[in-house]
Amino acid sequence: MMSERGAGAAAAVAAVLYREARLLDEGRLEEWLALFTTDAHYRVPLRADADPARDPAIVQDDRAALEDRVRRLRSPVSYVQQPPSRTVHVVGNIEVEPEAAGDPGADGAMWRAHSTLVVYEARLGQTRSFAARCLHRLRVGAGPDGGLGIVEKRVLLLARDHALYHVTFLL
Amino acid sequence: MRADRVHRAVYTDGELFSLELERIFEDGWVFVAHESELPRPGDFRTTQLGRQPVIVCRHTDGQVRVLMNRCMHRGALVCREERGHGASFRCLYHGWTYGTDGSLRSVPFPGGYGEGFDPAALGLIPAPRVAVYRGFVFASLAADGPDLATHLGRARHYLDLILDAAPDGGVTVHPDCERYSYPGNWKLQIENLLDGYHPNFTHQIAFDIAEDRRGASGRRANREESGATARALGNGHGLLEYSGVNRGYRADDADSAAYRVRLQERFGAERAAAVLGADLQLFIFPNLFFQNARQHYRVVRPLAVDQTEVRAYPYALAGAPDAVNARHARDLGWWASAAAFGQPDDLEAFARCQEGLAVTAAPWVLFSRGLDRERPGPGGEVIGDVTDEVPQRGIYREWSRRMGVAAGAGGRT
Repeated sequence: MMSERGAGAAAAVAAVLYREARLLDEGRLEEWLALFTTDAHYRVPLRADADPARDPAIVQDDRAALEDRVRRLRSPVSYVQQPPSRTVHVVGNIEVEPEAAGDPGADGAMWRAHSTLVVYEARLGQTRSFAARCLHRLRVGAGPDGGLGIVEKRVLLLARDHALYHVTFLL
Repeated sequence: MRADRVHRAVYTDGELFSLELERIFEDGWVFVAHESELPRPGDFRTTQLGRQPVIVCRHTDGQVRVLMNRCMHRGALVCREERGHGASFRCLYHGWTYGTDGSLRSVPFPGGYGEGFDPAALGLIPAPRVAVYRGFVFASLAADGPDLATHLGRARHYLDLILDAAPDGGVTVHPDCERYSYPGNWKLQIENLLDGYHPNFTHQIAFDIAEDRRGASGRRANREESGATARALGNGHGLLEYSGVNRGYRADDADSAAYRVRLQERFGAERAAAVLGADLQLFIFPNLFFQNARQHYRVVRPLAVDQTEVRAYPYALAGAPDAVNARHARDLGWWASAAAFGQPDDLEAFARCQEGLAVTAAPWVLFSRGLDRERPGPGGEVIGDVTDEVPQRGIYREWSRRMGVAAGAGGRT
């Protein structure tokens, strides 16, 4: 049985995913970035079993590259996002589990969240949709205000082996 | 007469596009695969020559075959996977089965065919010509024409410089590639791969970020008088030559030091220095591009007059440090994926070009930059400063020759 504290943490994990989606859709990119820990990774791999150390990926960002990505989205010379994409992130099928035994509500405890994601993007009169399965790994006490921080976000696109037109908004 | 401009129809006219597929992609030499994608007999991958589906496979004799992917019975693709391994190709429709040499091996219920039925005449049709240069497989649907070495011409000099960076036996392509597409004509991409004029504008934000993170970017190299050059190599091939301006192998770790020694042992000090210093963007007409500083090649595929797909393949250099090979594969997406910091801004430019080219009052696309300062180089090269449109003029000289149609107007007004 999950402890009461653990059950509370599980609900908090789901809340982070929903909040993340809303921050992206509202263009609050700096607040979105603050959800990620300083050792975070954000990945959009080309295959489910990709090795981040030696395989190419669509996105393979450490924290610094993630900051660069936000900087770029804010830049007036980022032509690829002029005009910017509007997005709706639909998060569903969330399953949450502690990553290891022990008190899952204790600071430093790790959680995993599996979810499905559908992103609608509208730009220049066209709407595109992107479906994905996501994995979030989160650490208790490492996020904003001592809450959950995202240590890893992995977006496994359904169309990961398709030749996509540029996808430079955040999934 | 030197063409310094191209008519907008070259990018927007559907009939010209069909003619391009016929006279360029379904006629002369086109890159189809690298041998390392097919290491064992029975390995295959599928691709296209122009509009036409082909199978590239390795037969039991060890030879790479290029076969038209079309059942000789009723026309279905006999190979429906992008890549794989198998002893034969079996049509899903009526079960006709072909060997990896294309031969028709079995036909279900053969008694239904009369005595004149000749399975030997019903093998998959091979591409009329297939040739391999250092592992790179090219095919041509034309029975006659210049051989591959003649087609590669001066480009071979630079291809060798790129491939000699593998002192222990060539390159191995990564099983995964980056892919992207854009709503624009295919030539917008090939012009861009040899365009040293645009990076400081299109890629300003990528250069800002690269300089802040790594202390270097392509900013200085892509300026007039940087010492870098843009070259037309003949036959439509082209080059941006940054050697001595950009980096090369600078890593100071023990593995990189051992790699440099290995190159010197293999090729001698002078050649090793040239290989290590080479920083090249090489385009081989009509569909293959190398950027050795990012250790990958790209393949451009026209889908429609206004729709193009590109794949970027990282490769490992045999004999180079494992960490270097892994890093190049891992980092390719920073520049060349659909979500990258670099290439997407180009794709946006291509899409906006395709839209702007609808303007009929301005029929000409200008490639006159550097016309007054281009100079002859070794092996028939034409050389300009890196921001000059020398390679683009070279592309369109070949385009006009192959198409039998003038791409533009000669001279200047």
